[in-house]
Amino acid sequence: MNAQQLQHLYWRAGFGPRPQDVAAGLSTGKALRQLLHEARAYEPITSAALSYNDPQGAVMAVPAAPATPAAGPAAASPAPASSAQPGTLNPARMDALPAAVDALRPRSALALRRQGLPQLRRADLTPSSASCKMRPSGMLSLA
Amino acid sequence: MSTAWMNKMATSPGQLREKVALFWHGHFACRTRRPDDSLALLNTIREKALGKFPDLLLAVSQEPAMLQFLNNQQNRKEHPNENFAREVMELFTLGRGNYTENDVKEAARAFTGWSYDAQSRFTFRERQHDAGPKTLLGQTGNFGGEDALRIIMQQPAAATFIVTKLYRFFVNDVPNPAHIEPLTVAFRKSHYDIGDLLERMFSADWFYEPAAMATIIKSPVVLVAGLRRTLNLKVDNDKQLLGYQKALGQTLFMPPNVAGWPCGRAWIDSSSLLLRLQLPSILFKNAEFAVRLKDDENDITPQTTGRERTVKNTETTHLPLAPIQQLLGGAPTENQPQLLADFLLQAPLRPENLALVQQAAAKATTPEERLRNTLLSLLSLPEYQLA
Repeated sequence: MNAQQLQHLYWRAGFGPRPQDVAAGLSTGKALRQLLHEARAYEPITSAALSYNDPQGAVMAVPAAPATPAAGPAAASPAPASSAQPGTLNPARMDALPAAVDALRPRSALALRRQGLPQLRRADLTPSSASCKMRPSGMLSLA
Repeated sequence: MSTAWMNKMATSPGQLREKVALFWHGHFACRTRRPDDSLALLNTIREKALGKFPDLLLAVSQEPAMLQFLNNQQNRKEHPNENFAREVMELFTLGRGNYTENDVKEAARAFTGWSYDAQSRFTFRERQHDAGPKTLLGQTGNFGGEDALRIIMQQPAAATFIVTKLYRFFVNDVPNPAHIEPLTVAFRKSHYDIGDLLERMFSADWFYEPAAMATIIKSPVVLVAGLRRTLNLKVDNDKQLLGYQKALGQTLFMPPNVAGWPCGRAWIDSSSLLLRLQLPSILFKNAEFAVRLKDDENDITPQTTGRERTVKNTETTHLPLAPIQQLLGGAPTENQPQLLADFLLQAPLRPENLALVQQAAAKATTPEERLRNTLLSLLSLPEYQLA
């Protein structure tokens, strides 16, 4: 019955006994002290895989790179340079005017959300950036 | 995130911490749309799970996930939102019937201004705080949120409520007042030390009485984590296990409502029962399949591409038999079912089930297969659902 009691403790104070726990054959008092002792250490659950990004963060990661090669000619050609929208920039134009393009930071990069991620807003996607500039900057921070 | 925690439960030496954290995870039920906030809440719970309850309560109450979930960011001086204050008293500390509607209103005023900033850090917004005098549970003063929690924890009902809930989780679904009363007194005396309370619970004589054993229905998380731990199961794709957990009715970080998961008999219903009983065979049939695949690799289906094989292998579990064989030692085969039953089941094995298990074992041709069949039929017994 003693083994059964030991297993009882391991099920209730944890997630069940392992074969080696039963084989060790501790008394319940000793096993409890060991459980309490081993539970003293705390380490947070964290890893690179668990640092989540805002789904929009993936979109906004584009400005750092020159341009996505995945954007085909159909997507690249009609975009006006003034739109300052990263994914649609023509790679050829970027090469021709490196300084001008570098100066054009996407407006969306200016509006920081929680975690400091730039937010992609509808206004940034519309070609006429002139109307966007008229907005008071206070409107951009929503959070 | 769920798999990371499930791994901890199955393998961490800090078993007690993870188990208590699982309890608090249901006690402080919370679901958010921001995984980083949920993870922060979980780590806060895990860190303080065995400390003093008031510390845990304060830390949890100030987590952005909880403030967001219980709408305290809408709780402002001009328009108090009572949700947070109500849940703190009803679900976290006192339980229904131990406070009045007026207490909820007054506590809500005390919690005004508790909020969080853009970096998910707790902030106190003084301009939204109602600094006027409040009367909460018989005490009057210009209370803030911390004061409100302190006053709530001075109520005798708080210790009774928390101890009863812990008892139902760790000892028996049917609370026994004769066991709970002394625990409550000690809990108050220790200034709500959770680790101390659990030590008392697990060293009490009544905890080891035969009547106390096999009285709890395993929650899906405990069932899956327990299978993995007791059998040293190696899982290639642990996301698949989350699917089973979901089908059984418990997804971590997604409690059904503010009250958390209902425990005990609520776990078993007509749809989950079948899957519960079949889960071991589903997992181990996969394992067998993987083994056979390796045997056949050389000759029978040489045209199978390596890729196909790997895809199949990623969705399997590996059941190492060595630790079990070691446990059995050199026991003769006819005794093995009984010995394994003692290890796997907390309830005694009935003779008719023993016959059933022996029948399954007799079908095997090799000792390994025999052992596997025995294990499988034992794990599929209804008794395995109890702990």
